[in-house]
Amino acid sequence: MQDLQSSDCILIQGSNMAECHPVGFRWVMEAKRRGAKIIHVDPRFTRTSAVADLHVPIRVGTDVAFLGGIVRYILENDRYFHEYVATYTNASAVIEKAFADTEDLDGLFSGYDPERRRYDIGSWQYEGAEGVVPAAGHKELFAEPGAGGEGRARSTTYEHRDPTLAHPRCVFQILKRHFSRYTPEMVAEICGVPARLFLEVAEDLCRNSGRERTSAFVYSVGWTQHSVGVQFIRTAAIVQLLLGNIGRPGGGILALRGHASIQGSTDIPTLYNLLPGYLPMPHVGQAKGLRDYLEFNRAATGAWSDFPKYIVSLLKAWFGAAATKENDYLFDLLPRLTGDHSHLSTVSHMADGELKGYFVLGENPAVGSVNGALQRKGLRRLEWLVVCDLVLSETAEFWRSAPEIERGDVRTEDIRTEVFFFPAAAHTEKDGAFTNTQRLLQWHHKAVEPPGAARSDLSFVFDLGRRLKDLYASSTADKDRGIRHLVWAYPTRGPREEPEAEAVLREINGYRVADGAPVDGFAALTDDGATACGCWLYSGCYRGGENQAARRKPFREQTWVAPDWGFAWPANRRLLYNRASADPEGKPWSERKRYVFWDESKRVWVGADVPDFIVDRPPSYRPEPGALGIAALAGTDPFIMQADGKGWIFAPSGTLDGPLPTHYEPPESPVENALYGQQCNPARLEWQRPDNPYHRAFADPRFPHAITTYRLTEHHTAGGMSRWLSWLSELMPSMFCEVSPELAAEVGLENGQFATVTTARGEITCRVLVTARMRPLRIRGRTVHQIGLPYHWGSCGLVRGDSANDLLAMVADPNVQIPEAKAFTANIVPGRRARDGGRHAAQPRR
Amino acid sequence: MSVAHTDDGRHIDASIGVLSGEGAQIEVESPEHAYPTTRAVSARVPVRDVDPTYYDEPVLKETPWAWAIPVYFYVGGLAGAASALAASAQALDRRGLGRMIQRAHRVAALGEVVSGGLLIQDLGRPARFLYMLRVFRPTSPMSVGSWVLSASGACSSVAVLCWGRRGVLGSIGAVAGAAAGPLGLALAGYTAVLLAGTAVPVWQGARRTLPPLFLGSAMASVGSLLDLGPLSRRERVVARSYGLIGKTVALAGAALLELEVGQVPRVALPLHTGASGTLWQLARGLTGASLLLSLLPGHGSRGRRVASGLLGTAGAMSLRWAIFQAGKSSARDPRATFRQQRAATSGRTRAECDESMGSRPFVSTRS
Amino acid sequence: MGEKGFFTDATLCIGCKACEVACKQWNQLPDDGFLFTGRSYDNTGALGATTWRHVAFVERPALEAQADGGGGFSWLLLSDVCKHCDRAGCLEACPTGAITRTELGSVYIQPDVCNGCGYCVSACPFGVVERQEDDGRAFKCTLCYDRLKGDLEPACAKACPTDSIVFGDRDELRARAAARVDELHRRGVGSAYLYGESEASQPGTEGLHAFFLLVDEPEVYNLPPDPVVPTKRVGAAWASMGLAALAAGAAAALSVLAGRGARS
Repeated sequence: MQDLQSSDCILIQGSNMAECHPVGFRWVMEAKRRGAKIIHVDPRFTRTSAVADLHVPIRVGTDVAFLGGIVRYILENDRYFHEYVATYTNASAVIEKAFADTEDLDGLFSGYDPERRRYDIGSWQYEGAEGVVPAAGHKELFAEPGAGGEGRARSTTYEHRDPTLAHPRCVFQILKRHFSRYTPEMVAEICGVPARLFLEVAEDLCRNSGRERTSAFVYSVGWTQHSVGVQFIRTAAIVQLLLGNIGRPGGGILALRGHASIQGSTDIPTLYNLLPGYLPMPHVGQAKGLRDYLEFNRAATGAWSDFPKYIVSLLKAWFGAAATKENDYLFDLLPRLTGDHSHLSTVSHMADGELKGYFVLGENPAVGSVNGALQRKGLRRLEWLVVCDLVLSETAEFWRSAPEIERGDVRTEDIRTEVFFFPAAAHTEKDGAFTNTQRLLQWHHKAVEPPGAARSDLSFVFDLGRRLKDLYASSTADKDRGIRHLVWAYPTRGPREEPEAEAVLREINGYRVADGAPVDGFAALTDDGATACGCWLYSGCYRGGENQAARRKPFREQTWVAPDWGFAWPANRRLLYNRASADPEGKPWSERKRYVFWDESKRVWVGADVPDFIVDRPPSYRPEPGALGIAALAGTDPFIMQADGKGWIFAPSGTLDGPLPTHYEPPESPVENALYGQQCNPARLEWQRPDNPYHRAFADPRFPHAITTYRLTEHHTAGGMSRWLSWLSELMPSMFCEVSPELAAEVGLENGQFATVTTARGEITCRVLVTARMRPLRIRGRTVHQIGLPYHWGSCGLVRGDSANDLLAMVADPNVQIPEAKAFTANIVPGRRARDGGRHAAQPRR
Repeated sequence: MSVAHTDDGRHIDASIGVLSGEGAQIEVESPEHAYPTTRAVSARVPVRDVDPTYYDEPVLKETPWAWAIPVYFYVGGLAGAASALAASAQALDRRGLGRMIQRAHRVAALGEVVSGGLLIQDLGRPARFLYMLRVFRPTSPMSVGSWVLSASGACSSVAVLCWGRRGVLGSIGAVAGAAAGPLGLALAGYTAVLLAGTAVPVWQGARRTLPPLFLGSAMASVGSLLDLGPLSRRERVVARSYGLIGKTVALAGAALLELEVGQVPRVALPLHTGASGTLWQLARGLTGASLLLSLLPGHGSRGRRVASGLLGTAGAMSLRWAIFQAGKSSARDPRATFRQQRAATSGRTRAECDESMGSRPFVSTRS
Repeated sequence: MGEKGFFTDATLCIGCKACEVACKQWNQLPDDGFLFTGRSYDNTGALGATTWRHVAFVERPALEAQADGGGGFSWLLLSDVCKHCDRAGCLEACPTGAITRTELGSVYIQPDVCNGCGYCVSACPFGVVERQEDDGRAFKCTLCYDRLKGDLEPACAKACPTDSIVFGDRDELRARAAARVDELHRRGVGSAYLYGESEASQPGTEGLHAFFLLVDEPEVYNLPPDPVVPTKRVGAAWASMGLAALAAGAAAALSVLAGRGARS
């Protein structure tokens, strides 16, 4: 993240960085101190905007239109970084003839099946490539085409390309045509951003890109929590590839995640469809054995071709000596996916009574997940619920403290769920690592013993595993073999027999099976069972037997890249794809932006950071025809995770809703899509059920205003870590909404008084904050009001209030199943909600 | 979860947390008692004001003093002026005014004891009242006053016990009584300096006229009090003279105070509006009425004197309350502070200052 | 040890209130109740006996309405604190000697001496110190005296993520602040200026140990434009009292003499 300090222009969009990542924001302030221009594009004028040089108010959910407009600006005005685009991206690749763009099909791409609401991506491929060109990060959607399945063991050819970028079906021209109607006037009409403001942003980005200057994008859940979230990020990636900013110091795209260690939660995943290190979870009916699994998932070329080493090492770590080549390293003992087991789908099934039990560790879905009423309904249908948390959160208390119970719609006596509550240890009471948003592992040491019966999550899970192993020790059933063979022998410490966290880290790093010696990195992993590794991505974090994540060399004693502070994956690389910081000949693009470059005398890549490339591969290297694996990467292929080593402006596979980003309106919008007949994301995930009602897609007269949810600095997510602390609670004691003075006047809202916001899913009461920081926008000739709702409040804690998520419906991005949380419609009226019983946000002390 | 924690707004579990912070020792019964900033919900949407304040939030803190203090101003003034009268009488007419001197000594001593009690009552930590005498800090009117009250009280008490006796005791009493005189004047007047030595606009703005006002009012208090009881002819003359001078000075002082404070009209606002304004007018009216009654022929009659005394006493008490309340209002009014300071720097109004500020809103013109 | 202090730069503040929370946590102060004020994001209100850092939020819409939106709107953010004045009103008013000047130049109230007379409350030209009603004593920012004695910097400065609050030697801070103002002027922020950094710019307090960089008039941030420690002006009151006392003494004498002249 400190790479931001060397940016010349930082565009913060889909993020309220100063409020939600205040410590990381110091790097933006450092960049500003050095003269960088800070631009904040956000529906609200926030504390980030207060210190930015420019704030651009935008309508929620229209970021593709805005960024697409920038793409068009770059292309129309010839501002793209020619050499970079030509050599490092797939701009020159020719796409096959059957491809049809949204311009042809009024908002759809070729291959759409309206019944299944899915795309067949066969027509999106490179001309001449056989089958589907595999994408780097698409492994998790194993069952989907594009996981490398049909393209097995074939190199992707680049015969069909046009270096002049003139071929009508080359990516560059397709891109140009795709965004041709995203003019500044269209941006104004869709986003509500005045054309001159838009042009100022576009010009700032262009002016600050190229050999001598770099611009960075910063985004967070303002982009991800949309039904087209992945495409928002894709558009930014296209902009940055065109401007030549990826892989360069002060450039790139910084993804800001939502919690301190949620990056770790996806790396060593709590996600249903991933194994550690983003290895795909096997799917039932598809993989009958390790070989098929490997065939389906590996890429023939590129760094992902080494994938077999990672899965075999993982299996060795989990099953130990019992895992041998003969039994496919006990791969068959891994559970199989049967479909979409993501959070929202699971909750939907839960609400239908199809789940028995639920473990909730450090999460508060009763407040923090969309459609709160449905979440709590799901909890009521369970047989048992286990909650591990620091406080008695709303999820733990759903059976006696919930809006439905307060209203009298549900009675505690009728709920049959058995609830177990385990107090959890705080981060100061246990050893462990955070993996922060910039892929940085930072170790934290236990400072005090947890009080009473509180225990760490590690302790809980380890103990649970031991008891399960004991329970099934004598079972002969086939389904129980997994638990029985699981190696679970972490050393323990202390009277409470807590597992040593460092031992887990050592396993994650990986070791040689023969002597237990830690490996230096994932390059040392093998697929013959000689190595074991808990997560190949993290390999190197215990290199040389030293806890790399615990390193704390002060910044004054090392370079600005600070490689001796903690450990960044992969292999302590701080900037990904940094090969692109040097030109095709291996020289830095400029002295000012020198980072990693080729040292001709030593014949290696050197620089401020660990080179993200084969360290001894010269820039002049060209692969033999038919080369496979890593050998297929040329010396000018910086994007080593892709099969073709190029940055993908056009994505032949990897996304389910299009190879190029397209402006789709949010599922509930005040207005029609101005560009296409296709109103919303055609592939979005929906849950059509009576308890998840949707509004009309646009201009629903009952719900005329746009609403968005967000965070405040003072509170933390669903409130478990902040609304129980008096020092934080007093800073923001009440649930409130932010409205513009114009909306307040129109509806009759008074600053400081109460208002009720309603959707078809529910209604909430909150205080009103009338502020000019919210601005009505002119969209297609009419005024659109936006209402801001922080989502931190619930029915428990020192300060209580209604939950904003009770207003939202379950609808999600198809690629990653992340729910839409940022753009819906609603209505607002003054006064408290009906049958309130006088409850208001400023509660008397308990 | 039943974790034993303090419910005083800290939520610290005393069994695992050590309460050693500087603020940990603050005993809090209810956190909502924290300074009630005008935190009534603000209905105004922010606009750019030509005459800005921060949501009308006071810039100063209102004094935490309560009813005991204005009452003390009266009682202390009464006691002090009584000592002065007694000392003069001691020096100039000991034999003729013996009874009056004794009475005055008693008033003084009793008044000072009561004063002490009132002040102790108002302390946040009454048990520590002796700490007032830990140091002598000449910069602080309150420090000076504490010593003056203590010394004056001691002298007056000795005078009560010893003056008029024979022999050594009598001499001691005489000395004590004499010393109590100037000390009493200091006692009667320092409270004005006490108020003037604060940042409160109306008090600081009246720093030249407040002392004579208080002294005059103190004299008037004594005259009024004496008028309530039976007096010999000589005593009547003394009391009346003292009272007349006092009331005149008080009325003149009040008028001059309005002039001094009124240099910045906003600062004088509490004298014209609200409870303090009412009290101010009342005080002047009562004092004036008392003065009038004293001047009219037939003032010697008992009934007239009692009426005059009551009016005068009420007037003096009201005056202290008026000033006290005015100070509270004044501290609550941010514009009073702002305009007083803007005017002081350049003699111009706030709007006039605005135009010439340029990039630096405030430039001190004083060295 | 030299004179230490704070330099608080409003242009670096992101309004995160880490300073407020760090102060409360380190000093184990109680909360001030849970009241929604409707004043932008400021639910704290002001400094007080149990709030020693307070972040001010001022929303300033553009003076001229700009049809296009964008630009001309500012949200001023500033962390307010006890100024630890060179001539401190509270210190000079305190009759018990509870309020003292430490070796670092800060102003510190000794809670074991304070008897809650409340005089300091009225004497502070910034409205900082306050008497806590339940406890009875007066409290304010200690400049983390306990931390300073342990060679740590104050909690608020430590917590501030953007170094809007900087702690250090006062001379160094002054130099830093002056450079910062120059830098801002060069970048077009002409309204930036320093508040209370020296005796010359704030003769009434003779300079503050905790001074600020502001971008609008002091009143906007609830700071007095020209604060004066009351004891600087109290001499006039003493003089007036002295004269009046003499006159009162004369009046007493006259009254007695008048009595002597009367028939018994």
